[in-house]
Amino acid sequence: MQRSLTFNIFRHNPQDPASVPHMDTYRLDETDSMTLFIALHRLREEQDPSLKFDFCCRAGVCGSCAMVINGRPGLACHTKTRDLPDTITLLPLPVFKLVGDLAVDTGTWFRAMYQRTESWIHTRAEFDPAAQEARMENEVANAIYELDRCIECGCCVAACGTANLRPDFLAPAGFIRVARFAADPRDERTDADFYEIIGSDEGIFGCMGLLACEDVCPKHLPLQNQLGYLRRKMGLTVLKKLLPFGG
Amino acid sequence: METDCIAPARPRSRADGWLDWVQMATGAALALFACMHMILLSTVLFGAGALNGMSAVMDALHLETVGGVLIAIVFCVHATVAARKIPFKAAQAVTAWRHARLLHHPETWAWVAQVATAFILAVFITIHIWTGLTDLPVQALKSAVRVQHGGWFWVFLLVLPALALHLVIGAWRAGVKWGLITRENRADITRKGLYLLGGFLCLSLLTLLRFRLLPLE
Repeated sequence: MQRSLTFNIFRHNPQDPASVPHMDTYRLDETDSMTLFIALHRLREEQDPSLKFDFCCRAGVCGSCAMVINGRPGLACHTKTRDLPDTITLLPLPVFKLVGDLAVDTGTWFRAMYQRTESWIHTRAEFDPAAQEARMENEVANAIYELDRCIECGCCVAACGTANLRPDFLAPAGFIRVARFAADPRDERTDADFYEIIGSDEGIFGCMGLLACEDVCPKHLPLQNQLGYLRRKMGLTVLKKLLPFGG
Repeated sequence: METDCIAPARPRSRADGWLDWVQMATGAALALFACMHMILLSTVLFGAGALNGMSAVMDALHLETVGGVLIAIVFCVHATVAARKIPFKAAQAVTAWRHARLLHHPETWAWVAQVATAFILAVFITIHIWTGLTDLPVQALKSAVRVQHGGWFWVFLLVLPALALHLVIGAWRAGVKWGLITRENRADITRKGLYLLGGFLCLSLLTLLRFRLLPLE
């Protein structure tokens, strides 16, 4: 039997001084295989053209349509309405700057994170454009690829308790970025170098191990295992400083 | 997150790393002590003589006094170091509460429970250590008098579940943080943690009940 869905959607335009944050309610008949992405488009086309939300690929690749869906961060294009109750509440992702309604600016946050983690290969090797690309074991390449699949949707950041409490926290997306370069043999940074980036309470020692990031990541990145790996690595770096032969 | 700084101008302090180690080490020491303390106290289930005999041996070896003072110090260090992660400011506390309510995520709620139980334990354990250390050695009759008078039974009834929750959640989260609990074994260890919680609760409540029913003559 076809359901009638009720959508409670956060509305606010921070550019408009007269705008007051509030929730608007819409009703929509559910169709087969309806995703939240389809539902939001229908709401905008049929009921309210002023409704703001981000989208691009509609295939869970670009990460643009991330929002808080009945309390949990997720991708609108990945979420089927049949998996949700009759009443659906949609909020913008917290932590990020609000653009309007359900749209947030994740780009500024991720750019700052990339700068802070120095998210590029650090090497003293001279680049020779004529040389063949350096070979890499398939196993290593796969391990790096696994850590490089982040689509920058921001779901893990929005679900992170520490990131919600302190804006300077690097958050899971930042840690998996560091883990990706730590796994890359072309990057010549040492553990001590990585400690300079994440060895603090704004970094890996601020992680409280709540695992919401792991549970909401739409790409199922190995966040939990990498957070543990990085904490051990940085914890041992501190201990090594105590030892006379530790450097 | 906003930054204009690409590379730190000077080496980062090691303090946060050390504090993380201290928090985990003192937490682990206190958890082990709490389990041992509970197991030793539960010997009263076999009779007052069993507890008194065991306590007399420990007292003769000065374990109760020396151990008690050491545990008091470890407790103070743990409470101080772990408190830096608690959102004390009103705005932070509201954010944390709203976040937990919104997310419907068991592990996030577990952290809220750990913070709440931390406050209960900070008050009660301070009193418990003081009353314990100023009235050594531990004896079944003294403990029974304490439980049976002045409403302490009801206080213990609140504190023992708080201790069990704080201990098990803390151990679980330390396991996650340091990578001992992984994606692969998370469900299994969570289940074992719940068994541990149940076991600790049963043992502690049975012991409390025994003190409540112990004849004072």
